[in-house]
Amino acid sequence: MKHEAVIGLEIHIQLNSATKMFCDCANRPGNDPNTNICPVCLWMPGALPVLSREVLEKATMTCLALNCDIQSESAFDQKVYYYPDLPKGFQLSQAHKPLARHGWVEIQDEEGNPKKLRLHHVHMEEDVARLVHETEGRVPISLVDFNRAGTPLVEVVTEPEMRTPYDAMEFLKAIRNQVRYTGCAECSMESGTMRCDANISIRPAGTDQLNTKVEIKNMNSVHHVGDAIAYEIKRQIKSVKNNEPIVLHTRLWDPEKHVTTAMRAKFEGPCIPDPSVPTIALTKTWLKEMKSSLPEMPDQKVKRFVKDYSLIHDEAVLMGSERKLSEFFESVVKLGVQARMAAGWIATQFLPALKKHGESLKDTRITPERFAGLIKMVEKGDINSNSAKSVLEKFFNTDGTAEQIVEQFGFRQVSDTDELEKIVGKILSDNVSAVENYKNGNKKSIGFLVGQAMKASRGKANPKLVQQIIKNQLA
Amino acid sequence: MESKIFNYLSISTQPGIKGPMTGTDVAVESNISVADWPTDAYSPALENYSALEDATLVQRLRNAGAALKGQTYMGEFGLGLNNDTCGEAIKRGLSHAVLKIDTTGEARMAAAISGCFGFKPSYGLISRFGLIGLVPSMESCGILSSSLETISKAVFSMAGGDDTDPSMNQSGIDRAVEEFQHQDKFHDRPLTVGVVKDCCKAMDLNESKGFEQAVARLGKAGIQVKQIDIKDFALARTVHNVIGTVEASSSAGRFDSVRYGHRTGASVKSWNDMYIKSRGESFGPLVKAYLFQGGYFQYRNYNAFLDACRVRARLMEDMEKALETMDMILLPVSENSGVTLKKPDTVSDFYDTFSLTLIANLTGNPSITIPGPVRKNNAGPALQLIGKRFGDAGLLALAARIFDIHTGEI
Repeated sequence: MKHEAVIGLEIHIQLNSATKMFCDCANRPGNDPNTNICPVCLWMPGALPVLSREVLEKATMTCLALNCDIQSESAFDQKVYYYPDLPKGFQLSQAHKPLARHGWVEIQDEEGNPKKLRLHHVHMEEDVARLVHETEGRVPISLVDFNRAGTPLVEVVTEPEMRTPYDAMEFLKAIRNQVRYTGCAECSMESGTMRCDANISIRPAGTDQLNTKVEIKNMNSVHHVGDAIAYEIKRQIKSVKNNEPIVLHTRLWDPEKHVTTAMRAKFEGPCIPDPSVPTIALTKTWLKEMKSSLPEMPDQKVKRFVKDYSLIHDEAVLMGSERKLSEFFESVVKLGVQARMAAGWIATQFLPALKKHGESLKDTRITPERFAGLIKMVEKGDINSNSAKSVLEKFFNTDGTAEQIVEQFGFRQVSDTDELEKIVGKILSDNVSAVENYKNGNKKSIGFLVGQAMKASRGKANPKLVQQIIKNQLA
Repeated sequence: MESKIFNYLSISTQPGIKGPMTGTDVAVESNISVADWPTDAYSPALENYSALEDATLVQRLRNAGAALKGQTYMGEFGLGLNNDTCGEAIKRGLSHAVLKIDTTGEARMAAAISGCFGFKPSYGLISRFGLIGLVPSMESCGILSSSLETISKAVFSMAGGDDTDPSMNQSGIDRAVEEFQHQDKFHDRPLTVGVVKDCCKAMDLNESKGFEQAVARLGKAGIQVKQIDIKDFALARTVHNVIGTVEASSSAGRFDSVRYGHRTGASVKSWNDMYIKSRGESFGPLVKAYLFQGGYFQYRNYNAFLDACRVRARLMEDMEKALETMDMILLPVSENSGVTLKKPDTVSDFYDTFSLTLIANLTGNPSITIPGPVRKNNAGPALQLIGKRFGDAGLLALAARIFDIHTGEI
């Protein structure tokens, strides 16, 4: 029998608000342990949680970016469980009345066709403290760091509609792109600001039954999620073939050994309405305000780039894929660079160079002004593309403009016909056999001759002119 | 003598601030935070815990000139009246006012028994920041005093919005504060009082007779008495029981014995074992029973909790509707004459004591008990008034008139 997998994801996204969810402590979990704490997030007796307005706004923006229906009324519940990372015995979460329901994101499936994946709901919840287990000593010790306690999360819960690890990975990337666009969250699985648990079950292909699921945790990258799901599907199919029952439990992904191992029975504690945090009632006016402060999202942006800048679809998708990138691209265009030229140079030269230098658009010293200056010199024929690549490389180490660097390092393109004729003359007399080949009809050897001339000019010659001059001299 | 009434006495009671409360001594119980005072809610679960800062309402009393006297004795987490000395402190003139968290009617009942006034303000009028209670949605800071004027001044001083308490109701607060400045308008206007049909059903014959006589006296004094029907009145006790225990079970989760409070001396195998043993040794039998019931509804019978929430919402609506056409509702304080300071053994005993006061905690209305001719440890002759939400000032003004009639001064 052929099996298919039923995959649902639960994704926790840490919002980047200035404060924690229910108190004024800084939302910086990475600081020295227990430095961003107060009686509220330590849950000392008598302290009361007060929901941060900024957190509510950022959570709402996140939901809007995922095409959700924001609920006019939502509320916090107490998810009751006892564990040292949660010293008040319950986590404030939204179990019964989430902030948003439904919603979808679009991915491309393995055949390249667009596919909409639906969300069940999105809710807010506070994070718990971080436990650090020191097992080295004679007596193992667990330390608790409360910097993370009470930091704001939204949890995205999907419908169980994904069928392959590929779907799941694309889904995660799509969620990440959409949410990053709003500027409300960093969404990095590597640094833990986005975390993903997967629920997986299998069934005979083509049926619509929902069988007992297994939850997997501890995947620290999009690829881990794909690998873990693929492993788990195989494991379950094998179990079913061996007539072993699938039981509801939680497994951990081991990225070193590439296996999942059983951790514990899946725990579902009670959830009761929290009596202290008031019900959140959102007015239409407020929601309208939120919608209007939402930035232009990637799909709108792609359409506009195609329409306004005559980019082809794939170029527009690439330029629109990240908010910072799209802003960089538009700034360069607004500074007078032809749009497709800008997109081409950004895609093929600038982004790979950034990656090579380990920089990002956020921290690089290459501003749109400097980059536009460079491309304009190419457009005008002041430098050729080889020199432009060299200037781009120099950009990483200095703050000079393209003009300055070109002058300083003598990158200006040689378009002076007299000078080029001299160089070409020398190349033709030095490479008699190539000239013979060309004359005998091997037109390709002109490439070799142009290369030699470029080399002789130390890369500065205008290659189009050189080719023309060679053709003229050999005609 | 004082050491039998006070569990803790302040070293310096002089606040040095001139204000409406200057010259007024106020005592609290040890579940109301006063910075650096031992604040253990009379439970080993908070053993040796000192409050980090003042409760907002304590800060406001200080600013109004009140002198903080000390702490009177209380039962564990204020559950029941066992061990209480707040009423005695008033009766003996050792403090002008005592603050006591009122979750089921504790402050009002203690006052009724000892022959003074006991007031529970509207929910959302006075900040709960710094109160260590078990049932957040029902608790308010109650006040005992033999002077209605002192109660009025204290409530007015403590009332007001507070960014650290999300359950405050700003528009209600504005209305209430406004009314405190015009309390005299209640002095001689015609009054209508509602009496809940069937409220005497379960009462001792003696008690119900006493209540009927009290109602008759009001009628004779020219107050219009109307019968009202609050459909779910008889369910209030059960509703409070279900919601109260559920909230308590969650609230008590934070008493984990790690950062403060009693920690077991027994050898333990794991952190979970440590929690269980420490909590088992900390909580007394009544608190345990109360928390167990909450755990039952949380884990095993959530639907009962949902039903209770629905009935509570209906009770709130009915109460509000009834109070649209009258000034206040009149109720006995207790169903039976046997209410004393004795320790309740079971949750059911506990609710027996407060069956008629708890409705104001469920609905969030202000409520006051006014003493009758004093009988030892007996709430019987006292009356309970329930006012409109945020009509605290009016209720306190009217309580003075009802008191005069009730005690035969008019």
